[in-house]
Amino acid sequence: MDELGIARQRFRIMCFGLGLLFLLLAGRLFDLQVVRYDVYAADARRYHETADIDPAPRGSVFDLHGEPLAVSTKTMTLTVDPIAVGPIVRKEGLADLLVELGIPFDREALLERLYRSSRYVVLERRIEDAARVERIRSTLRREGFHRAVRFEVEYKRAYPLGRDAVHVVGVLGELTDAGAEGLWGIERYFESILHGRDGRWDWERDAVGHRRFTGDAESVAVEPGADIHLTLDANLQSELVREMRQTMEENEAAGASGVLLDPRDGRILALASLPDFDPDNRGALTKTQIRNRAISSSLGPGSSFKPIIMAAALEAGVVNPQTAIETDDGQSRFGGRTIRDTHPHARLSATDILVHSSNIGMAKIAIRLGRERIYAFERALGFGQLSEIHLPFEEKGKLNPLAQWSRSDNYSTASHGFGQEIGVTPLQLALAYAVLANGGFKVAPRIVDKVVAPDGRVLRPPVAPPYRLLSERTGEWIREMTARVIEHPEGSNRKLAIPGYRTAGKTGTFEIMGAGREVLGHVATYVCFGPLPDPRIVAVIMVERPNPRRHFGGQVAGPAVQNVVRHSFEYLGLPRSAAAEPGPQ
Amino acid sequence: MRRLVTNLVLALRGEWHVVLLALAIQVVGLAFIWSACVHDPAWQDADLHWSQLKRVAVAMGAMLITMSIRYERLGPYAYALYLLAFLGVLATYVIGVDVNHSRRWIRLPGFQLQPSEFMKIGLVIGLARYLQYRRDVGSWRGLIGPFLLTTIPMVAVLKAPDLGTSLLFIPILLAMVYAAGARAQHLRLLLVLGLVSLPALYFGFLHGYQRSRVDVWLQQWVPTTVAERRDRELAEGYQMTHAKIMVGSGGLSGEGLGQGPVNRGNLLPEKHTDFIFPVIAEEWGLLGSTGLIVLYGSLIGSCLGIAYRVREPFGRLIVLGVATLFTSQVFINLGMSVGLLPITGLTLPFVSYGGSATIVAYIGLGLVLSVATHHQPVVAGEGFSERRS
Repeated sequence: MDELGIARQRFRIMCFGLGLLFLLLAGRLFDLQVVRYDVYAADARRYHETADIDPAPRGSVFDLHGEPLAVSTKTMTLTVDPIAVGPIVRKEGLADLLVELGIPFDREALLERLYRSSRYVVLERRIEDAARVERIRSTLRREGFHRAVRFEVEYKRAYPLGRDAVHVVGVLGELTDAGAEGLWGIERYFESILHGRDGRWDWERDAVGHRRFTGDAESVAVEPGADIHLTLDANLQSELVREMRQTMEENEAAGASGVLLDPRDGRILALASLPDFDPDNRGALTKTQIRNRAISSSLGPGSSFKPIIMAAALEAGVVNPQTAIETDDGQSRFGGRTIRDTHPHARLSATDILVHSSNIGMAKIAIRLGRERIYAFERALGFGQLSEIHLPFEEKGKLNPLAQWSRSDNYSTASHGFGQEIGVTPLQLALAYAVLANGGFKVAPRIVDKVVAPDGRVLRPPVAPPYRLLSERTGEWIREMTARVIEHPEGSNRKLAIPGYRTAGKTGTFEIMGAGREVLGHVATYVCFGPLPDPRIVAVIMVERPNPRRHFGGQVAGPAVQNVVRHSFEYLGLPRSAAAEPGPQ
Repeated sequence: MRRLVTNLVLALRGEWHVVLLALAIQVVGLAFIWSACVHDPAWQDADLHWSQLKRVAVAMGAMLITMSIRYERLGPYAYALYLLAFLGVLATYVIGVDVNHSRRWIRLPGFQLQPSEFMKIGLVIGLARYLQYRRDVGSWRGLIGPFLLTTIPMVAVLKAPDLGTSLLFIPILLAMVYAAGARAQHLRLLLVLGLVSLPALYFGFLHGYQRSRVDVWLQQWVPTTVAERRDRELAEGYQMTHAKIMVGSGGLSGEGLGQGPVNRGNLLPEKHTDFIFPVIAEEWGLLGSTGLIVLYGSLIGSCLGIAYRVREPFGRLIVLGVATLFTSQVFINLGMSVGLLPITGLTLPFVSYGGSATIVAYIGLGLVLSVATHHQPVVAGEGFSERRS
């Protein structure tokens, strides 16, 4: 082939090469602009769009009487755009000025901040003194720094009750890009209601920092958050926590939780969990501190469960308060195991079985009742289910489905009779006792009394109406039988009585078993309601793993509940019970 | 005047479309110079699209003059032109002006001249002159001459430093010796050697900033965490990142001329010169950017078509050289805009804002048209040459 021929052949090859190169470019363009469009479009927005958030004033949280539990105060945060300050002379001038104005940095630290290549540096956070803010603002304006320095509104959250209500009220998370957000408790559960809607000022930004507003009137409008009024009573809350803290310290316990509620309508008057933390000064928090045991722990109720099974037996007609049961002198074999009573008796009436807390008696009653009825009643009372209280991170407790109960003997059935093989949250226990206390009505728990919108509208969360679970007669019987536990002259719980008031209650001591059936610790429980005949208070305290030296429910939880209940009666100004027997003192 | 126009129309013979394609690309270029500057506080008052239009007018004058010269007459002056351009490049070392730490410009009364741009045309003409009727390009010895003709000015340009322009010299050399009949296996070997020696070049010759551009380019293929990516974007990867964001956020059809949000944000430096393509890709999307590629492809394809028809080697090699120049420049510029190649300073012919580059592009086009209109019509049949060999 001659030179021209070779050249022409090679031209075709080069044309082909040209086509390939340009196809490669087109392919890459397709990749960037179509396949990965979303990624780059999002990046583009991130780079040239900025938004200033004008935070909405967060709604407050109040107790039943309007005492503040969480309130926000308006503060100002001073920030600077170091690039906008200008050249060295200006930076030094501004640093001197800021030192004079009492910004909490020395001159060196300020200069370091003013030389950063960032466009946003915080100089002082949350200045509360409005006069000082004004002084800083006017001084900086006079010296011509107002374009570089900016005040931003920041709300500071305060919790007047401090650690006492921390598990119910919750706390606000630290400031993030999205603003502060409720982390636990009411602050979290009602985040959207409390938060309101922040004003959002959208800007397009260019490389030299010029900004152009791109939002609209609707997006910048601030909607303040609504206030939430709880059913909680600050006074009772503090009293409950005080008593719990005291008994926890005295007994060197691992944790304690308590609930105080009104059995008539399920209003939670106090709800607490220990250990806790200080919401205004929280450092590194452990899971133990954060956890609200009152709604999330699954604890063995032990003997404090006996009145509940008794109520089921009364309702089923299996026993009446006088029915005599053989209690086999304190030792009896059920299937493969022996059940013992602390106070041996040959036979006891149903009432006395509660008074003397006979495990044998309860086991026999439970077997008479049968597993199906026990399980149905426990479900109906809300065990093994969420109570749907308006708090985050509630747990169900532990109630095995019937299929998992031991079938060969009545082991499980008997165990339920004295509060074994079931895990309850203190709230569930309190709600079950509310049924015993109010004459047989199941009530839903209420923690929010009302929500007050910024425009003054009052909204109340819908509440499931109470419904009858026990007949009137059973309600009357079980209330009196439980009262007998305290009032019986030979009962061991006489010292838990409250002078001037008739109260009912039952202690419980549950042994936490290890894998080898060794005792790891105890749960000491006391549940109390009163004053009879129309109880206004149900109180539960469950103390986890008290020092084994002294671990009985009546010793550890009993006095604490007693004090709380006595205090609440007096605080609520309840009339003394007509038939009240004189107390031990 | 009328005679000139008539002559022009007659002279263009069948090559109208070449001029029309170049003009179409030029219109797009002017529109986007406007778009790139209209929202940029640094440039919006400068009316760069008007000053570019004036330059285009001057450049078109240069094109008309070039195409009216019979290209064969350049033959005797080819080495002189080559030498003149080379002296210009050398002159930057003595009387050059520093811009962005690079001495590429010579200040003349009224304007600044970038001799390295003219060196590209000088090289094409010089190589074409050297390679015409040369029978020894098939041997290694025959490649020494073209190799030296290319590398000497290339090193001079590289040291300015102007890496982008110097990179164009290699494809021009390879394409021209290939078309002149060099052995394919020789060129393949040279290519392999070149690829193997890339790491050595990276460590031995590149300046720190150039090396970091290569690093950034390499890093984009390595999956990383978001945090690392952010850091890199803010540091050395700024230009490539923002170029890719502009291209990618354009999507299928873009927001329209002057409407690109990222363009209006003015985050990408040099977007009216070297980085004008991301503006086009953002505001006209995939449709517009591939449309531009099709225009370039047609223009360069037409040049190759002309070269194919020319039977005489000097003209054929000139056209091929210019076509290779356009191809390489478009490919490297677009390649760096979309992250296919590391970033280097290089304008997009007929589009980017610039003086010397625009004039050189039009002179190149003028050379192509001169060859197209002045080459000797074929007298003998195709078979004649076959028999001769």
